Amino acid sequence: MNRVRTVGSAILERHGFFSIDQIIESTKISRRYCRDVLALFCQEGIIRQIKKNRKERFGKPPTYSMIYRSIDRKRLAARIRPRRFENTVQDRLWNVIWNKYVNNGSFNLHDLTVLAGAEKGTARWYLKALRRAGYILPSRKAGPGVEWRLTRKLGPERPYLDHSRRIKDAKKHGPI
Amino acid sequence: MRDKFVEVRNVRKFRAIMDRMHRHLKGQGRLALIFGDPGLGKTETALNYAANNGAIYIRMKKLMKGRWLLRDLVNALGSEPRWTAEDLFNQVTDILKQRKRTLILDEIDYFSQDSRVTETVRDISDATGVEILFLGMGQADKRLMRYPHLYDRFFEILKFQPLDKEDVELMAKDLSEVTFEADAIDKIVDESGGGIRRILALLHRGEYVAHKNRLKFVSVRDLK
Repeated sequence: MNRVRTVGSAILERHGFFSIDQIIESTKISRRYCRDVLALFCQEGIIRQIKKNRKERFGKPPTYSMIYRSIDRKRLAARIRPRRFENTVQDRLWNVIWNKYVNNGSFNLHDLTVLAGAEKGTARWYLKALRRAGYILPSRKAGPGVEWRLTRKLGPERPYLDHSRRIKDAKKHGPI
Repeated sequence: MRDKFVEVRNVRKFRAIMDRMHRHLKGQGRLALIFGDPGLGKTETALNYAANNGAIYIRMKKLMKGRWLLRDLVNALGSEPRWTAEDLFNQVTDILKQRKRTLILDEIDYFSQDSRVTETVRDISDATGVEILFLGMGQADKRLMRYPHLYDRFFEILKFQPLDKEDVELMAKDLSEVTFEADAIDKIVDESGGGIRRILALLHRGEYVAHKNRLKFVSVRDLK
């Protein structure tokens, strides 16, 4: 996960006001990078910087405590969501899976390689990922010509893999 | 056998029609009709096109009415269908106006009896200007002739023809790992009658015999 996403997730976990120290503590990212990301979010108008008054402490230099406040949580969530490109191999594979499932009730590896024009290895990897995520089930245990079916109606928008290679539901998280 | 989509003559014509349909003048009908006997690869070609171009593919059902079609369309467009027919129609047109996508309606023979479905499809085409491709079986053109206002909007009508020798040669070359001799190709054309399923079965048989006997070439004798 990149820094923007890590810091953004940490901000989303907090409600309302937060300081850079709190973000550093939860993300374990150095102050320098945290500051850069917060400055970026400030520029984009997602968070706002609130400068508090000068605090005088006897025998020590004065301090300025800086706090931030998230303004637009929806925009922040959209900002850190993985970007999706259109007409990728996965899009094509999902299109075939969805159309075959809706119209025929099942699909197989041959459908994916021929109709979506994907390499056999890519199609196999995709089926494996969907199966691990619990979205598809095979008709039988193993062997050639296994027919697959969806466990539930997921819609024409494909689920996507997040940073940890887990498949996420497009309906819940929504594409950009 | 290799897993590959072979661009036979029918497929090339299909793609040419889709290409022309996208470039067709606005205001004129952006509908096209492709029909032909079963087993010539219409549905597979349409699914391949839909997967590669983000088109919406909908297979019509025998009992399908206008509302059912609209609900399927909304589902295929990735939205939650509303309740009334009016709302559904508005939903479809709104989504398609925002993002134009080609519609492919398969098995149109089923709704050619119901004028309300044909009129709904025509209304969607008029309201949104999206390209709609009709796919049907052998007599689909004759059935749709009964609706002149719809038939008039077809800017192109194509009949899928049985595969000829050139197509079978291309399939053998692209799909098979062994070489088929000219006499074997002729036999496949004669026996299959141009149907894709039968051609594939014969190619598979030829390849099986070649592997069993360690042959590099398959002749007519091996297909007996």
